[in-house]
Amino acid sequence: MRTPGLDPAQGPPLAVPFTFFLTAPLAVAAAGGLLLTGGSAVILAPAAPATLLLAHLGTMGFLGMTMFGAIFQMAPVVAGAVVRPVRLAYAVHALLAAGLAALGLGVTGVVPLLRGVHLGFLGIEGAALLFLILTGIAMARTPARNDTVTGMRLALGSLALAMLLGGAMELAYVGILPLGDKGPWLRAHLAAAFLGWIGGLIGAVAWQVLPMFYLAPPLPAHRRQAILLLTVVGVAGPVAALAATATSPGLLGARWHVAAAAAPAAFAVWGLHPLWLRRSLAERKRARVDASLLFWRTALVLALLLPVVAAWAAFASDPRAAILLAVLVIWGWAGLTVHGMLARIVPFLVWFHRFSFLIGRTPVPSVRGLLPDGPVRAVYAAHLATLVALAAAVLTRHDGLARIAGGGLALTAILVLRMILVVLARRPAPAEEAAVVSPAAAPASP
Amino acid sequence: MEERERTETGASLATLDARPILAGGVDPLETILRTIERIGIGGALLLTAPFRPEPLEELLGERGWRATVRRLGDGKDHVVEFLGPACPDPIDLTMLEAPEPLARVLERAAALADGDAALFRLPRCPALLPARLDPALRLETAAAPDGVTLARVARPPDRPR
Repeated sequence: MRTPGLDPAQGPPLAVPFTFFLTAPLAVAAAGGLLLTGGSAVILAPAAPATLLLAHLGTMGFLGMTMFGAIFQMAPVVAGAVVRPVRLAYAVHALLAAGLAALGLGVTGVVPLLRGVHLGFLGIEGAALLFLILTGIAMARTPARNDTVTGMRLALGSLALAMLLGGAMELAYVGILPLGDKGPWLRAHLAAAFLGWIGGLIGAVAWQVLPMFYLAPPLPAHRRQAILLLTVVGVAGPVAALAATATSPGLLGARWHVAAAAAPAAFAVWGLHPLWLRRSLAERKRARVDASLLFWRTALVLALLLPVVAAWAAFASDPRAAILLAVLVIWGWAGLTVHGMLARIVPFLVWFHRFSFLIGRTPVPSVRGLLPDGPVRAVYAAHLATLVALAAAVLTRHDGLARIAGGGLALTAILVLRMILVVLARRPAPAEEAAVVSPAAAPASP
Repeated sequence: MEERERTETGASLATLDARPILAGGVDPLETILRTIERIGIGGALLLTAPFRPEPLEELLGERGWRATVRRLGDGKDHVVEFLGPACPDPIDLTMLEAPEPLARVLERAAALADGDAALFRLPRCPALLPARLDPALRLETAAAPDGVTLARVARPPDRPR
């Protein structure tokens, strides 16, 4: 029995997703260090170098690392899209880590700022390009057709768009490309990154993970497709509006046009999707509250606030609005979802790769036995407290609060790292492993 | 013995969606009966219909087939699980979160004696099961439109080589 195009045996080795999953908390810790040392100066102006670094440690270091690792893992299993050669995933990881490090060195003054920014974005863009080539070829070749596959394709396309727009802004930043007012470019970049890349992938993952791990009834196909369609319109719209302003330089209100063009995607990703998912979770067949579900529930509530904050950011001149939006998207909605997902997927992958083939031959720990609720609840508490402190620091511009939020980020990173390492350290006893010649090959005990 | 041999060498699980047949103005009864005949009394059929097919349940009930009915989502469509007179009751794992159903199937499969089979009702298509199932075992699945899947795992009789 095989679903056409799906072959779980072609999934990557455990080391591939975990290389990314283990690096993500380091980026969070670095962001925490930046806030701890820089205080509120880091969150005052969206265009400041330190703010730029903080934002990209969040988007590419934390979210990007985790999402790249998740896609390398998911693509073969849920979409039958086998990434070849999968070893190049390590090159993606190395480029991304090096890019973020270069950006950090530039912003902190270890190397000249412009050189650091240029090299940093070269690394980040190079990593994204290699990732897009590897996964794009695999996703284009897969015969699998379903809404999750479409969502993953939408996410990859949006990432490509976000990278193109981000690359143009980076060239403008270092003085190579004159872009004029970067506001519309930034809005189109954020629409592609937040709504298409992050929103598209969260949708695709949620449609798989919530029924599978929480027994939530699947969203009906017409609802999934409505979300996908509105997201495509809302990601493409800002680019069209940007092109229109480029061909009509006198057009007034370019920022507004670009932001307004993203509204359909914002409505779908931060309105319809969380509303429908919340209803689906409320109709679960089993009422047990898993600690990882706390992350999903909080993220879905936060998502519903985002259209209001996004409208404030789009139409107000107050710089706090844009920074608050970034905080609520990166560390709030997307960050909580990522940590909730990791809390289920990390023990599941370790269980599947190391223990599942021993079932029937020797006692095997359950997934819950690999990661009890306690450490997950600790991560949730630290994550949520940090989010509150960070949002308050942005709104009040209070230096002490910003440093507290930095400490919170570092603490959360340590707790996540510990959670992953504790699970990763679990292995079958050598004698049990040796008793099995190869997975599923040895005869069952009578 | 004849029945056992037949279900082990041919498909004993089937799915049939009567909605497009009915939408085409055709009575699906003949197709259903042919399917029932093909899978045999040890088999199971997952039938999807735009209404609850009570006359069919009665007709097959007279022949010893048991029916379990559930509604698909919020709509009017129904899935009827017909189990043949010689089909064991499925072990219901639909209330378990991943990967518990996988673990339970593997545990039960490892304990199957030669010639034995077990039937499971799973919350979704067991995509990861083939990668972990003893290759000597035979796996058959039939999935309803809502993903709920019947899976039959059988250990073939020990034959002299």
